[in-house]
Amino acid sequence: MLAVVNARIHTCGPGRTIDGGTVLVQNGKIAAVGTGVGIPDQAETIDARGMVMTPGFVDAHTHMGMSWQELAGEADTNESTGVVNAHLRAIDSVDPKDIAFGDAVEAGATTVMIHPGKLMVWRQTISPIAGQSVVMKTHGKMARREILREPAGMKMAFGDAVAEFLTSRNIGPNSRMGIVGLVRGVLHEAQQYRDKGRGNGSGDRDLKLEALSLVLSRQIPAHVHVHRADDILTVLRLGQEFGIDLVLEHATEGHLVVEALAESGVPCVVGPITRARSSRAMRELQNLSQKTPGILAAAGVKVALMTDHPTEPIQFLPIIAGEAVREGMVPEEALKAITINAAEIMGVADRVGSIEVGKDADLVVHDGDPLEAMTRIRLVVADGQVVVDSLRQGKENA
Amino acid sequence: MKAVTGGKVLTITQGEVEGGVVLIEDGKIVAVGRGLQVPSDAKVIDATGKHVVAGLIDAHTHIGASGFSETTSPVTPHVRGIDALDLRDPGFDEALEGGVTTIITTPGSANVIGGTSLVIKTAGRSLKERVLRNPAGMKMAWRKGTNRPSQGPPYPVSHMGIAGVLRNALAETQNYMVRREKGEVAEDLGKEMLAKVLRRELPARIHSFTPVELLAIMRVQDEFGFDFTVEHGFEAHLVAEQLAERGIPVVYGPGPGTRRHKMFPQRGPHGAAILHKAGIKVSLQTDHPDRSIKEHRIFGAILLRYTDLTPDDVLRMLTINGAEIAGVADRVGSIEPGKDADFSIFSDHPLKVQARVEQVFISGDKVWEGGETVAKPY
Repeated sequence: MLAVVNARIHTCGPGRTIDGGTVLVQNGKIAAVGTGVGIPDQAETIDARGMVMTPGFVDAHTHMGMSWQELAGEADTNESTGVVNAHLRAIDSVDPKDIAFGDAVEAGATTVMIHPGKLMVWRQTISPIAGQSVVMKTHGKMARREILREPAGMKMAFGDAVAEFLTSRNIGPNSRMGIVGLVRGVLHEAQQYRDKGRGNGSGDRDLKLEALSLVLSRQIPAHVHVHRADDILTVLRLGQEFGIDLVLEHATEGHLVVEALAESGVPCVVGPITRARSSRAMRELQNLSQKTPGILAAAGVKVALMTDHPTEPIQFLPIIAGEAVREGMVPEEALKAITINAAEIMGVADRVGSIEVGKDADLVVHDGDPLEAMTRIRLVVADGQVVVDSLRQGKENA
Repeated sequence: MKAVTGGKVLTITQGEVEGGVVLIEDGKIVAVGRGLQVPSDAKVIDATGKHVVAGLIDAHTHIGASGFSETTSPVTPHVRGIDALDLRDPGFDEALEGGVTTIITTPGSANVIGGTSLVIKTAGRSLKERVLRNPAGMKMAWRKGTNRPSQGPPYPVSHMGIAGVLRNALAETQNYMVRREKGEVAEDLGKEMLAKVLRRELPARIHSFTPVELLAIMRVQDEFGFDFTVEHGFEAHLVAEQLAERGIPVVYGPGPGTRRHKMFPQRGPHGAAILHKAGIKVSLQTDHPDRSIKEHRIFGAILLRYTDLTPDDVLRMLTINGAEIAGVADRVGSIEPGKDADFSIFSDHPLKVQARVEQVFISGDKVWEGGETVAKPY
């Protein structure tokens, strides 16, 4: 049993912020939160006076484990042999040796979503249906790192990078309407597959259509890579047509169609907002704004932020949230964008994303504003275990 | 005359002046201090409660040229970055949004010898006024195998192959210099430029990361004699002593070294701190558009999170060190009398992520105000 006492606690839950609060941890779960919590005699107590506590950070869009060897000419994020890769699973490409998992723990990012389908450094290409995403914890021994949800979503993509992907393989289509036509055709096929009750034992099992059936039956959402405003509107239209749940990934021009987004109720994982909008290789970023997360959140859109690791390193997650605050996002909203909102969008909010009784004891203690670069992380608790500690006397700075 | 009053002035080289006054005439700083008399005809820029910070300098970008290389040959010393310069590049705006007023912009790193870079301000009245130094260096790249976008002959694939290409080019330049002196050969624009490097009039700016690369470069330096800077240098701290002995500066980045992968297993923010402690002049870079120049100061702030560098050390890496490495420290890099009036007004300390860049001035002219440009909703 562990008790962290005297902290200013941003719960990111209904309790909001508690000054001088205590979090009691038992069996890896949060057993109590608040002021005046009784601390059992056998509990190990950590004094966090003057410190700020947040939930473990949650990064809703990364490629951790999939591309850390990219510059060495190896990368496992984007399969290029087929156009429709719905049967592929990100987890089968996740190398648990990736040093970024350790970096994540040190930076307080305890849960991440890992998507297949990432643009490569010199090949700005992505398949329109890239495969199945996974949600996992970042701490623990590599073979035992916990998977919270798999499959957690179907990664899809629209826009320039898809056109380039198809063109580079000489398979077309390469216009925006052509790509949408292709995807509609595949989803239509999956509808028929599902309606005819095919599957294992039918003699007609098709792993791609089986996976897409999960999207059509709304067991998992489609996480759609989309930058431009016109493509955002297209994705919303497509979602309505097939009655599927959507999450928009990047949503770079979301601020240009903010009303349509708010009406749709579709959540957005925005970013990374630290990228250059003047990249010639990525013309879709030309309207990138660091104000987008704040504008969308103010309009009522559920917003999470991303590092898109390794595009930005996972350690930047709270700093990116700080940049959103500088550009107008309410600080409480920015913190939620890297905790509870992300967890809800990923479908794991019953386990992580806020400091509430019954949830996993993933806690981070900071010596200042959690969204400032100069602040240092002094304590990380993951599933009830102290994994980073420079708070107690005699402990080395992690 | 203009006067910036009431702010905390971070001069970089002369410490901080609380409630300082900066007097500006004809685009130059004429006086900096506390309680200076403000002439009655001076236009006052009120910076009360704000931080007044020397214009930041990014010593390695591709703004205006977007990182392109002339890949018809691995040796193209005759090409000039200025001939590719597109002043409409929105990267200049992003620089201003991040408080960056001077940059080195350089050809890409596909070639072993890639062409000349230049130092330019991120805004100004004319190209002539904006260019501080041209040529400002000869871009070279020690870039091997799969980390090289252009492949196939005559591009080298091994470290020794890269050394061979570079040594051959320098030896041919030595021959050229002798024979040209005797009037035996016609003028060769590329070799003239490399001759400047061998006469130490122009530094080589060499894209390089690892000890094997840096040790080879130092070997070639001993053989031919030239000045160079290490560009990127994510594992340069592993040979910090050798670099320090030679007085070789490092333009570290892009980013604080937190983005790790298999190719540079020793990379980390501690690299910049080790280099600094070894007495090496370190400046930071964004390599824009690889990383956004708007994040320049944020990368500096992140070094504070992970190392024991001080805010003063990091601010120097963002300003005067870059100016010295670029060879333009007589003009920019600090708020000092005699230098160009290039500075920004920040809402708070510039190494705070949440501090806003409110106004940017170049040569005393306000060139930016009010943060980022955002397109309007449809």
